[in-house]
Amino acid sequence: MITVTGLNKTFASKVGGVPVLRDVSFEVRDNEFVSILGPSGCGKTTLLRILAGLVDHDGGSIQVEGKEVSGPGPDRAVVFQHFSLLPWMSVLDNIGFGLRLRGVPKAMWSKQALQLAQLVGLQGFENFFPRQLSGGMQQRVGLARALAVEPAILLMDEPFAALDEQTRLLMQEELLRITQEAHKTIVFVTHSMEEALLLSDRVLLLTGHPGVVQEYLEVPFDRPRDRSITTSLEFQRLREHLWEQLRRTQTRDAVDSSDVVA
Amino acid sequence: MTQSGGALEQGTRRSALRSSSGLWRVAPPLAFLAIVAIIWQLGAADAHNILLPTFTATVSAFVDIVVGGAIWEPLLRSNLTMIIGFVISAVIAVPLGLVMGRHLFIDRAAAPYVSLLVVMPAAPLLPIIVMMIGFGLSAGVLLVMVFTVVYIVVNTRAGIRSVDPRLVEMAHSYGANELNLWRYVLIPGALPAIATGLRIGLGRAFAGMVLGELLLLSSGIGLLLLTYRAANASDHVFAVVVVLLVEATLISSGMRRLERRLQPPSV
Repeated sequence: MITVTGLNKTFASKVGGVPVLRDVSFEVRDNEFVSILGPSGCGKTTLLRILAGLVDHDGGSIQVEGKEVSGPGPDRAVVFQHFSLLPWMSVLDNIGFGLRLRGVPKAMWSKQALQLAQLVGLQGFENFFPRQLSGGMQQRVGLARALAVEPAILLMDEPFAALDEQTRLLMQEELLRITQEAHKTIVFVTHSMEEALLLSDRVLLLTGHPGVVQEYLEVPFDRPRDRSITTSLEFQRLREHLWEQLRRTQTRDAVDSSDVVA
Repeated sequence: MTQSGGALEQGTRRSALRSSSGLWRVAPPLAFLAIVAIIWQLGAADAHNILLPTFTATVSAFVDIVVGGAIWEPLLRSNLTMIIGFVISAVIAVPLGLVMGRHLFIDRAAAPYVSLLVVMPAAPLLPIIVMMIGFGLSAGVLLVMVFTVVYIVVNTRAGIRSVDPRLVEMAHSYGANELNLWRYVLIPGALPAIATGLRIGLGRAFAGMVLGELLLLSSGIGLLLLTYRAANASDHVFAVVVVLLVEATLISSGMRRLERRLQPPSV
């Protein structure tokens, strides 16, 4: 259970503080898949980094299982947009990296890393180096590394945004399959409405500068799911609804900024 | 992120390049050498100048000092100075470069002096060194260090700076402490640049060694050169220079090989 209450964040800059998040409140239930959806610049990645404990927040509170977040912790693991694999380590060493940092003996972490390589479809590539892999395979390594530390919460920062379209679709299906096997609480940042609706139980819509919560939308599709739901009327209706919300706030922002310029 | 498209195609292209690379690398410089040798031989024979030996005279003098053994003791002595100076330089410079790359305060404190050493020609320091500690081995070592240290510092520092901050953040998110960061992220990431610094540093150490001995600290190779010059044995002077060239080439190619081995594995 993640509880975020009245969260504020302002970045310092030369011209003064730039507010990025204002009064953000929401909660994520155990084993729930929540997407944070919003246009670029709405602070969604910052919000995820705050949840990960990589960035401090200025006001409000973030609690995981009732405990205030003050830094990275073993209960959370991050999958990064640009994979962030260590180029000098093999696939196996990269997957086992988090376990190794926790002092797990080599025999154990390499065994676990092997199993995870299998789970994410990397069997046979354990001794490859990141640069020898395609983007999609690199992100499989990133996902396996996060799963290896057995976190209660998986934080995913636009994990498929750097991939090409076909690979992205494949990876979405992989993620659906993997999360069906491993029960996790997942917070997933994306700017794609389809991706958010396909994967999530709920979609947190962030809009504006600074980002505020526009809506917390229930996605009423049963699991296990597959891509066939995207052709359903209900899916189209939700997508249209999200688009309506986004368009309204973005036009409003555009008008606001043109006022400022004038 | 670069994608590894067409691995098979790349593989064949690379192996085709490798099979021809041996001949391709050796033939052009050998041809060039042959042309220079012919011009040198004809020109020097024509000039009848005692200070300009012919190519063949230089070759026979080279054989004389290498087989006859006159070169080895001075060469060993000079190299000892260089190696001691280089090792001490590396021991000081690599850690200094590492902390300068990571800690802004230390960087601010040391940077002006490092950049001063980069732009400053080392030769004017020779008299000062001799004034301070005389003509012995330690003077040679110190001179080599003056030539060397700064290049290793600068490259090591740049290596740490070049480590992707996203990797540092990733390691933090998995609970890495400072020691973990150095071990798994910072040092492996900086290693190629450190190797470059050591390669350039060793070249500089070699230059410092030769210059120091020639100008002030008459010992080793420098002393040998001065002795041959005093005896008007210009062919032997040239032969010593050839020995130095051979050594410089060996050092540089050896260090390049080391540098390549320290590069991160790639496609």
